[in-house]
Amino acid sequence: MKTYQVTFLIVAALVSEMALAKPFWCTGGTDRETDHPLSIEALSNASTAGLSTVDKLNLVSKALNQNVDTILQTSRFQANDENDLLIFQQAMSHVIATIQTEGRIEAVRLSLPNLKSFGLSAVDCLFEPGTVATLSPVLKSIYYASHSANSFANQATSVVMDNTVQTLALRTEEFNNWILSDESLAQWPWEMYLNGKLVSSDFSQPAPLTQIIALRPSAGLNLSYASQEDADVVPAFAFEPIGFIRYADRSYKEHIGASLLVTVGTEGGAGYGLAFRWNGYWAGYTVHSGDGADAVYLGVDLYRYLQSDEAKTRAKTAFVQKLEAALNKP
Amino acid sequence: MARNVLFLVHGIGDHSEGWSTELQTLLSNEFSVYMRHTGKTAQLSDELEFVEIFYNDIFDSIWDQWVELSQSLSNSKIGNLPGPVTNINRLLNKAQRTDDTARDNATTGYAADAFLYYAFPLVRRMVLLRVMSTIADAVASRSGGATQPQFGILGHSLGSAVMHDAVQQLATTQWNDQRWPASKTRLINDANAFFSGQGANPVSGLQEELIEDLTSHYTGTGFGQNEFQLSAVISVANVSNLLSRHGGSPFRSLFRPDRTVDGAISTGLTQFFINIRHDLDPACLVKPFDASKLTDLTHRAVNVSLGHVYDKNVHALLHYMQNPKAHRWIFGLLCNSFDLAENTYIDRRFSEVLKMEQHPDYFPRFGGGFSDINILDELKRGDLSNLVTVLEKLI
Repeated sequence: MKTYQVTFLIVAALVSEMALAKPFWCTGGTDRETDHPLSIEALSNASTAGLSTVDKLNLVSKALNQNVDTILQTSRFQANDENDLLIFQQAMSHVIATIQTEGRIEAVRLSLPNLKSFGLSAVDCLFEPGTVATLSPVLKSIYYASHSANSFANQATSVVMDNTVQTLALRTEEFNNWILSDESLAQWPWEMYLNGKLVSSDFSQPAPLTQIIALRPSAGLNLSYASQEDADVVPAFAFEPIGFIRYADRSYKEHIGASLLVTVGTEGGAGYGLAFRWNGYWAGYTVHSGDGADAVYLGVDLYRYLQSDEAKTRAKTAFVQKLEAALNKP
Repeated sequence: MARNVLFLVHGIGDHSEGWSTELQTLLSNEFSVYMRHTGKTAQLSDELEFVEIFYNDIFDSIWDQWVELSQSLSNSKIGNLPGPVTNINRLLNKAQRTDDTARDNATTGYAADAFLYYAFPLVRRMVLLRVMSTIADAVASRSGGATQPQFGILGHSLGSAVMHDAVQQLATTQWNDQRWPASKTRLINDANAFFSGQGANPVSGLQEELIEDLTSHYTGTGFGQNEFQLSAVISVANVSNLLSRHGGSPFRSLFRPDRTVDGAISTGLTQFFINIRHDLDPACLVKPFDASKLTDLTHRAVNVSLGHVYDKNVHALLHYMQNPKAHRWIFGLLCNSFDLAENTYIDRRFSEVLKMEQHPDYFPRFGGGFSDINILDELKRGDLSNLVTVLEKLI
C-alpha cells in the first residue's frame, strides 16, 4: 500500500470517528468490543497528545477490527420482518464502506477487487484465516471491515437481485405472450412499429393490454343480402384504417376490439363501415357508395368457425351453404 | 472457489441453442496450450463457466409471423389484391426462411435481423428482455455466497450492440418499484426505534444521512451503477456505434469502465473494456468503435486490432477468437491460472523463434485455407501475377 493511501485512510477514518457522535460499531456487541478506546474524547485527547502515526493507526484499526457480523447478530434490534433487517444490514454495509469527510460523502468501495488497490492480494481476499492473520493491523482491519460489509451487501443484494430477476421474467413472459403467441392478434410490420412506439420506454412496466390496429389488410367474405336465400357471397379484400383491440389480461388469449372497415373488390363498389373483433374472429357491417346493398363482412376465421361441426350442428342454414359455395369456387 | 462466468452473445446468423459449443471447444484447447507450456494442469472448465445467450429465435418468429400474415392474403380466393398489398406480400415472402437452403444463403435476410433490432422497438424490447433475464438470473443465482465469481460478457457483431443495450438497460431501470414500496416515514420510525434501542439520540445527523442512504439503497435493483460491475467486456467486431439504441451513444452510456468526471470517479458497469476488431472485417469499417473514448483511465479500455486470415469469413467469431491476441483477454481477465508466464507466452506465439522451430504453437498470420499464400506480401511486392489466385482464395 502506498504511503498516501495509508495516510488518507487514517485521516478519513479519524475524521469519521470524530464526526460520528457514537459510531454504530461502538454500540452493542460483545464486552470485548464495547470498551475500546475510540470516542470523541479519546480521539481529541489522542490528537492533542500528539500520538505517533503508528499509535493513531492502531486506534483506527481497533475500531475497524470488530467483526460487524457479531455486532449485528448480538444487537438488540429486533427486525419486524425480513425487509427491515435487510435495510439495516445494507445501511451498515453502506456506512462502513463510506468514509465521511468534512465537505462531502465520498464512497470508498471495499469490494474485493478494490481491496487489491489497497494492497491486498487476491489470496488475501479469499478470507483464509491463516493468511489474514499475517496481515498488518491496518490491512487486517480493512479486510474484516470489508468482509463484513461484503457479507451484508451480498445478502441484501442477493434478495434485491432475486426480485429483479422475477420482474424481468414476468416482463419477458408478457411480451412473448403478446407478440409471439398464437392466441394474440398478429401484427403487420407497420403495426408492430407503431405499437412499439406507443409502449412505455420504462422496461419495468408491464406490457400494454391495448393494441392498435392500423392500415390492416385482411381477406374475408362479403355478404350482401336481402335475405339469407338471396345472399350474394363473394371473397373480398378488406382494410382497417384504424382501430384497437383490448386484451382481457396479460396471457393475451382473449380480446375484443373495434375498427373502421373498408372493403374493396365487391360488385357494389367500395364499402365503408365498422368492424368488431372477438378472440380472433371478426365481422363488420358496411354501407356501399355505389348501387350495392349494405353488406356484412366476415373474417376468414369466423367463416371457418361457421363451417365447423359445432356451428353446423347448431344451425345448418342456407346461409352457411352459400358461404361454402363461395369459398369452394375454383 | 466459484468459477468465473463469461456470457456469450451472438451476432446475426442462424443461431440456435448450443451455438457457442465450437467457440467453447476452441477456447478450451487454446487455454490448454498455455497451461501445458507452463506446466499447469488447470482446465478452462475448472475456472470459467460459459453462459450462452441466444435470441435469434425471436427474429425467426417475427419473420414467420409476417410471412404467415402475408400468405393468409395470398392464399385467399380474393383474386387480385391491391397493388401496394401485393408488393408488401412479395417483400415479406422473400423474408421467409423456413427453407434450409434459403437460410444458408440468406445473408441479406440476416442483415434484416439487424434492421429489425434497430428499427422495431418491440423486437428490441423482446431481445433485450431475454438477454437481461439470462444475465440477471445467472448473476443472482451465483450471488449471496461467501465468494463471488467475476462476470464477463463477450458480444460479437450485432451482439456487441445487444450486450451494450441490455447491460445499460439492466443497470438504469428501476425494476423493483412495485415490490419495494419504501415509505420514508416508516424508515425513519424504524431507524429511530433501532437507534433508541442502542442508547443513541433519535435521528442524529448521521441517522438522517443514513436514512437517505437507506432510501437510495432500498430502491436498488442489484444491478445498478454502484451495485454491480462486470469484470470484463469483450466486444468483437463492435457495431454498437451503429446499432445501439440505449443510453445515448455508446460513449455516453454507463457500459464502460470507470472514468473521471469533474475530478471524481464515475463508476462504469465494467472494470475493463476490450474492443477487438479485424482489419479486413467490413463490419468494423462503418462507424468504427474506439474504446479509448470510453474512459480517461487508459489501461481500462483497450483496442485490439487483428490481421490474421484463416478463413474467407474474417467476420466469424471463431475466426476472431482463434487469434491469441483476442483470446488472451478472456483468459487474462477471468482465469486465475492464466498469469504472467502464460501472458508472456502469447507474445512468443508470434515470434520468429517458434516459427523457426516449426513449433505447433506458432501462430502465423495466414493459416487454414490461406496457409500457403501470403496475400499481403504478394500485393505489397506489386506482383499481380498471382492476383487471380489470391482473389479466388479470398472470395
